[in-house]
Amino acid sequence: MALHTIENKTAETTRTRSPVGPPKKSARAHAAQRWRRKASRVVLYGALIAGAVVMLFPFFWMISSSLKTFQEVNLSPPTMLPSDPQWSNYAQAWEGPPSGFGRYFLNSLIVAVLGTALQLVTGITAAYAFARMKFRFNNLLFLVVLATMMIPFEARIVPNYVLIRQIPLTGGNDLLGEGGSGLYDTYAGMILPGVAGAFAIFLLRQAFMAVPRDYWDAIRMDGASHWTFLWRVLIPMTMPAVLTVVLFGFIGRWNELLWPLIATQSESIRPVQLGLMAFSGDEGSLYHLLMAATTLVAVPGIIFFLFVQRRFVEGLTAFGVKG
Amino acid sequence: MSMSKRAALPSFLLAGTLLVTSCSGGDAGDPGNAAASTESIDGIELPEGVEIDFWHIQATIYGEAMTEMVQEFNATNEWGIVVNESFKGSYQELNQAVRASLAGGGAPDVSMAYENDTLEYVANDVIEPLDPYIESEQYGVPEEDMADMVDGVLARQQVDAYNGSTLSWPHGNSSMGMYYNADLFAEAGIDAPPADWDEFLDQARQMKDETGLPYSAMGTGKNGIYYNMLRSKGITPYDPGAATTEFTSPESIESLELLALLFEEELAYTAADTEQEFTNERTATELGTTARTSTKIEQIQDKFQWSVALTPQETAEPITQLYGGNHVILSSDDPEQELASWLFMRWFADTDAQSIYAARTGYSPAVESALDTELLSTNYEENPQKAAAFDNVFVNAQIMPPTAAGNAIDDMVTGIVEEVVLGRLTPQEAAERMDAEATSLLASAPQN
Repeated sequence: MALHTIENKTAETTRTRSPVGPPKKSARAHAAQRWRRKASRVVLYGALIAGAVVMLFPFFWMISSSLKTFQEVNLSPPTMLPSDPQWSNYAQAWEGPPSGFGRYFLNSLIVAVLGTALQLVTGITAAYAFARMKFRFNNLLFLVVLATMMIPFEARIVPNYVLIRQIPLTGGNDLLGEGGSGLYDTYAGMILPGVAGAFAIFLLRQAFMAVPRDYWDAIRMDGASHWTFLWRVLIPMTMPAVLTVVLFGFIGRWNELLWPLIATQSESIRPVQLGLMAFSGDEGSLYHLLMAATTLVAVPGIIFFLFVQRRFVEGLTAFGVKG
Repeated sequence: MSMSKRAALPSFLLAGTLLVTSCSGGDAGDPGNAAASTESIDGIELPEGVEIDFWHIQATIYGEAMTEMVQEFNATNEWGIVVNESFKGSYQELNQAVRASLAGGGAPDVSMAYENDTLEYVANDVIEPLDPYIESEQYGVPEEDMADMVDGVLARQQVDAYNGSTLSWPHGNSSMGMYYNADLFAEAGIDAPPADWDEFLDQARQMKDETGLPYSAMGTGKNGIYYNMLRSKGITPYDPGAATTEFTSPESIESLELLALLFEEELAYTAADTEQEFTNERTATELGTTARTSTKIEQIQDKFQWSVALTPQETAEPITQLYGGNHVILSSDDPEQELASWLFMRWFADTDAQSIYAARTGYSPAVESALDTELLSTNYEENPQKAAAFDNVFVNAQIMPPTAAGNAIDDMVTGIVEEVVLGRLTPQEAAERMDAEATSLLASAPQN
């Protein structure tokens, strides 16, 4: 996409300049220019290929290791390719953890999809309020929201835990949040603490603010409400930002480890990242099975990314977010 | 944007309720619970089917072995106790989970814990002393069973910092040993592992001269090796009670000088995975935990001859590091729950369970009688390195003096020793820095 744009621009520039450029160039000058262009392209592609190799090597290593035996995966110097591919590692990894990976996948999917959807709802509505509505302390409140990004996750563990345990009238709790387990060891307990994220609010607010106010004035004349403006105009116009929030939210939840570890007890509701921990502990790791399981776990995220990558890149570049 | 009055009232009620409940604290681990007495414990008739939660850190073959043991206990215990086990990640993550549960409720009945964690729990008065259970006529541990426990393992349940109480009970244990490649030793003309640290240095030079290979691979956390050197010279690295250290002692300087020399002459090197270095014959020895003996057996197979020995010693009383966690009972208001927890812990540390654990993993059994079971004796015959780990190393293992500042001191010592082996600090400078920082950490530790 980016290359295509560069090419078009170059062509356009060439077309524009040709009538006012130097009257005539010698054949040698043309050849030198062509050579320089080719050379620069070779350098560019070379750099891109080198970058791609660097980025893809960990994936290659993961897949290669996932097919080795326990002995071979620990060889040093390592072998690049498995001498006798062990496809059975995948079956072993799938069935290895207590609940089996099928269950972990389902749990992760529930947590990631519901959590992301809820985060999107809170993010969009809050961002809209901050970007488009005038109310007292708007900027101050937005700063407070931003400030929450500075609080490390570890510092939020205990308050979040207390909150989910003591939500009134859930999990056997009374009105004061006592007597039961609240939302501990439930999907809701894993999802709720992350549904309002400062990052999503920030990104969407910036995107909403970039839309000219004229659109609002125009639609207002037709009697449209804030909701209509938000869903019919703003969201379609800022779709790259919305998808960026979706992607970050989904992958963040898919990769979440510490919170589900603390907020759950039953293997039957735990997500895939905890399933991976069955292969790695304080007393050593079973790297070949860990890599097989990691490959399985990485696939949904990669597929999801492939579907939304174009919009994702647009979102990042349009709203100035750095990875 | 203004909030409608109809919407405002429920919102404020909800916010207020959450605030009240958030401030009210959990019911578990309520400090000030009266400890159970032996008489009251003997008077309990445990009803059928008490359920307890057990949090642990075991994954891989250790997790599988433990699941097997929990299932065995659930199926065979005469009281019908049901143990619900839950994996909680590393020790650090487990500790975070326990602390969160103590604040918010839902703490487990039994948790794994290192002594340093146990001291944190003691400071917050959230764990049960075990002596009344041990002394109980009906549910206790007979004297012969106490005598059956490996010395170092028993000692770590009753350390000085517990002020005469027994606060934990064994889970699984390992120790720091010196793995050596017997084939490389033979090639270099070395007959046996080194008896003391001077011989360690001599052998290292001999190995380098004869084979060109480094003598030892050491992990990134060198605090254990450094402590081991000090203790083998009869020095206890620090005294939590007095908040003093021996880091500036001549023995400490000597140990740091030896480490610096080993790295300077490239006789030793740092590796992220020392086991991989050893099993791939890139080094002749590895100083590491005996818990990895079983994985080494699987990795090395018939590639070369090897075994495990005690680390070099310089006093008449050999000593090495003891590793592994314990079990503690987190206080609840329910004596039946606590008794069920104790019965599970007692079973876990007994002959049959420990023989399963030691046979399935690299841990050494907490009780010597486990060696006589058919399961473990057969396993040790088939895997002589595991037997060597027990006979040569484990029986000499003792924990470091526990302190709530232990983790912080370990991290600090690791960093400074690394500076020494990299040549950035002289042994003297390092010793002085370690002494100053550790003294301050010990003085501010909760139990002091």
